[in-house]
Amino acid sequence: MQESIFVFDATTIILAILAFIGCAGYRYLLGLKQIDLTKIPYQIKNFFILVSVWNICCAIGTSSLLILDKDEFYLWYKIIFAIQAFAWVQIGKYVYEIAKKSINEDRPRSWDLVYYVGIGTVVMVSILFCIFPDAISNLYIFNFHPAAHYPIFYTYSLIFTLFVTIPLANTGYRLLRQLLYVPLDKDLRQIIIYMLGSFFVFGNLVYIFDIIVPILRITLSNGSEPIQFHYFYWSQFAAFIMAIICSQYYTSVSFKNKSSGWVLQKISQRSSDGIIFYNSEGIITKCNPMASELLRLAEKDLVNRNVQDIFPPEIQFFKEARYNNIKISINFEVHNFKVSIFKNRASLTSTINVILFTDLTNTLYYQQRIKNLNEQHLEYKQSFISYQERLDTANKMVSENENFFFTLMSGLPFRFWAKNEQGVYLKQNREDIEKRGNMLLMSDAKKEMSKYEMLAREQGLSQDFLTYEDEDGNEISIEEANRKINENKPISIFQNMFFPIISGNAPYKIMGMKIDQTTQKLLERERESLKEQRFIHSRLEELGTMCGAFAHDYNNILGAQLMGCQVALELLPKDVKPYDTVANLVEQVRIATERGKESLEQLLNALRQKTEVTTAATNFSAYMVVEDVAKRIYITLPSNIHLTYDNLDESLKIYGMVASLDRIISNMAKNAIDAMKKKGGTLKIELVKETVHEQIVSRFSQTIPPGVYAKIVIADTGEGMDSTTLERIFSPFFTTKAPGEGLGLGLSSALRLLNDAKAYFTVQTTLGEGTIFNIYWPISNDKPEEKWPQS
Amino acid sequence: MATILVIDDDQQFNMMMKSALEVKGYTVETAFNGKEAKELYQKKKYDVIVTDIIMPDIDGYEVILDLRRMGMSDRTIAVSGGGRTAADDYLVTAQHFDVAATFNKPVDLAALRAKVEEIIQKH
Repeated sequence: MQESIFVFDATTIILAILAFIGCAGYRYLLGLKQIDLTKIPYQIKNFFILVSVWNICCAIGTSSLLILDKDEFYLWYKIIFAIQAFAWVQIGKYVYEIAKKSINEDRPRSWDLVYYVGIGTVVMVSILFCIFPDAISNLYIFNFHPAAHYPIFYTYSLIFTLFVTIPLANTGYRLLRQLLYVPLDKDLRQIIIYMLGSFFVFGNLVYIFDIIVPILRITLSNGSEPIQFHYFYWSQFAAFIMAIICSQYYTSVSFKNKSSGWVLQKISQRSSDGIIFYNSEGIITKCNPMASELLRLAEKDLVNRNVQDIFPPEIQFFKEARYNNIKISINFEVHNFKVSIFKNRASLTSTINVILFTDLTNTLYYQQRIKNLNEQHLEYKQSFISYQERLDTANKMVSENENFFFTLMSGLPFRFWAKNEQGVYLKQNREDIEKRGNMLLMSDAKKEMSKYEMLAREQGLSQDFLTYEDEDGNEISIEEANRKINENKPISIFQNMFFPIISGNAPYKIMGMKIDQTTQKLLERERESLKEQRFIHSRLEELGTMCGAFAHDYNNILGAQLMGCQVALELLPKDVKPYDTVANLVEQVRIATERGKESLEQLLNALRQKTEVTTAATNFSAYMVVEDVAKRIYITLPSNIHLTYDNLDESLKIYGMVASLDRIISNMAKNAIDAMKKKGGTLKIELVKETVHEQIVSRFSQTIPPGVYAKIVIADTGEGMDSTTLERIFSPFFTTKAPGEGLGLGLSSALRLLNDAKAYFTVQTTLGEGTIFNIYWPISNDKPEEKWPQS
Repeated sequence: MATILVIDDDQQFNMMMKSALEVKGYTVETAFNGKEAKELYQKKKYDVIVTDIIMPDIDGYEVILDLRRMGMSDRTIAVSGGGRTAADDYLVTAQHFDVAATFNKPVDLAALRAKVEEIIQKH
């Protein structure tokens, strides 16, 4: 009867297949699917491979019973079982290896020998069973037939006991010893306890169920009845569970460390603190980039150096602590470091020491930097405020200027406008708007622009010219304007100006002005015409003076001749013979002389007439003449004499001869200056309007009738005149000068001219105080004759 | 016999005037300027004084004014050859000095003699 190596049992098959799957996918079972296969210790890998082989063989063997007869294909089952045994016989070694890795203890070589012997034994026993199936069952040892029944079970149980249970027990012993005698950390103790637990189950309980209990059953049954059971059934699954427990606890701790190491590495790569790892001897194993940066040393220069060479000796490198202000000289520069020492377990057995350090110098530097930046920021802020203020001030000034300009422009008493480069009106003052309406933002047609404006606009030349307008505001030519003035028709004269505002290239912006100069220009014309009249008059007067002197001399000559002839005729005796002849001759001379006299008179009359016609009386502005005379006098005034002529009524118009007034004032002023020559003084000339209500009677001049007069005052602060002098002056003509030396005080002609103009005068004089002449000149009138006092 | 003083700076005219009056039997003395005349008429009283107006140094006006102060206005005759300017008329001025008569040069001799005679008769 064949021994039943495998017993068909669906549960067994399912469990075996599940265990196989679990072993094959042990990474997932252990929660290590993220971990690189090469990182998993080979002991664990092998352990799982062995367990999976064991289980798959079990599954194959058991399930083979369905299709292969167990007796017919007995060899097949034996081979399967042998493979199973080949697998489990190695378990002892790998369990030990795993434990060794945890407890870090070398196993003696002798145990390797046990391992190889175990393998060899399994191989030999299996071959023996296959070739000589009865060799074992027929084996007798001293009459003892130990394996008469169940030879395979017994044989393999023996092998299991020798080569699996014993090494396992040894391992358990060592772990226990480690646990009891060596101080270990919590993690390691935990691993050992769990491993010990699993060993206990595997080594004791399972051993009882798998080997002792079947042996007992065989013995009790006494061979009467074959007992069917699964060989190493419990061990098979217990090994699976042990594999899970051992490797899980091992890997959970180590990989935990490793993955945290990975995280740590990532963190340290990015850390802004320097991190240096060193081992228990103080040799640097790793550092992060920041460490080499802070210490100014390349990583390769740091690794394998002793940490004590780099950090000062006051640091205790193997004790967790923190140090502030560790001074390290780097490149001859002292840096302040904050240093922390940590101890970190790298694996179950070793720790890694870590130095974490920060360069406070940099921190201080950055703090200083921030401070500086803050100060700078403050500075910029203040600058900004001050710029803002300046901008405000500038804006204010601009608006003030604008305001000023606007006020000025509005206040200008003439028309003002400005155009931009395109000829669009930008500014217009009120006068201009009133005259031609609001033109702002409009432009004139190009053909409407005057040539002056074009010159200013295109060539940048300032323009200043006059235009004339009639009373309806139409522009007229200068000839027409002159005609209208002569006809006494109202016209307007404008001064026009164009100023280019030069900037960049033409066309330019321009400013335009139109100033009403009518009054000024007409006054100028009047002044010119007065000047002309005076000039003509003075030339005629010169001629008159010359002719007068000539007449005076000639009258003397003619007078002598005439008288000579007359006396000669009277004295000639009538009784003398040639009386008639002589008398006739004398008479002829007398007639010739008479003709000469007549001819002279004709000449003088012609001249007198001419003078009178040319210097006809007109209406004119008295102040112009008075002012002119005053100015002329001022030029030749001695330095000790002051002249004032502030009080001139510009509105007064008088009727008469311009030259007369000029000469009267000139002569009187000269007289006044002569009176002040020695002592100096002030000459005052005034022109005022005066109404005479009652007639003025004075000793030296004609009575002044009531009326309105232009009163011209010529006052000096000279010596004054005594009554004799006064009498001589106003008797009424007086001179002490010989012919050719001028007319003395010149009053004779002055007074005659006054007479001609139907003007009057008064004189007040006080010795030592001065003399005042008042001239009363008739005011001009449309019908002057009516107002003129008839004397 | 009446004495007449003739004052004129023109010597020829002076001489002619003297002759014309002497013909009528008057005693005639002459002066050629105001200064000479002054010396003469201050020393001696003349019945008639005939004076020119425009003369150097002391002119006819001064003579006339002097004579007026001496109460001799009505014995004075002013003679003038006309002004130095065409417009001036010195004789009009002289009239203002209350002279007895004024004559333009050339003189109407008959009228002058009549006037002289008239003045002499008056006194």
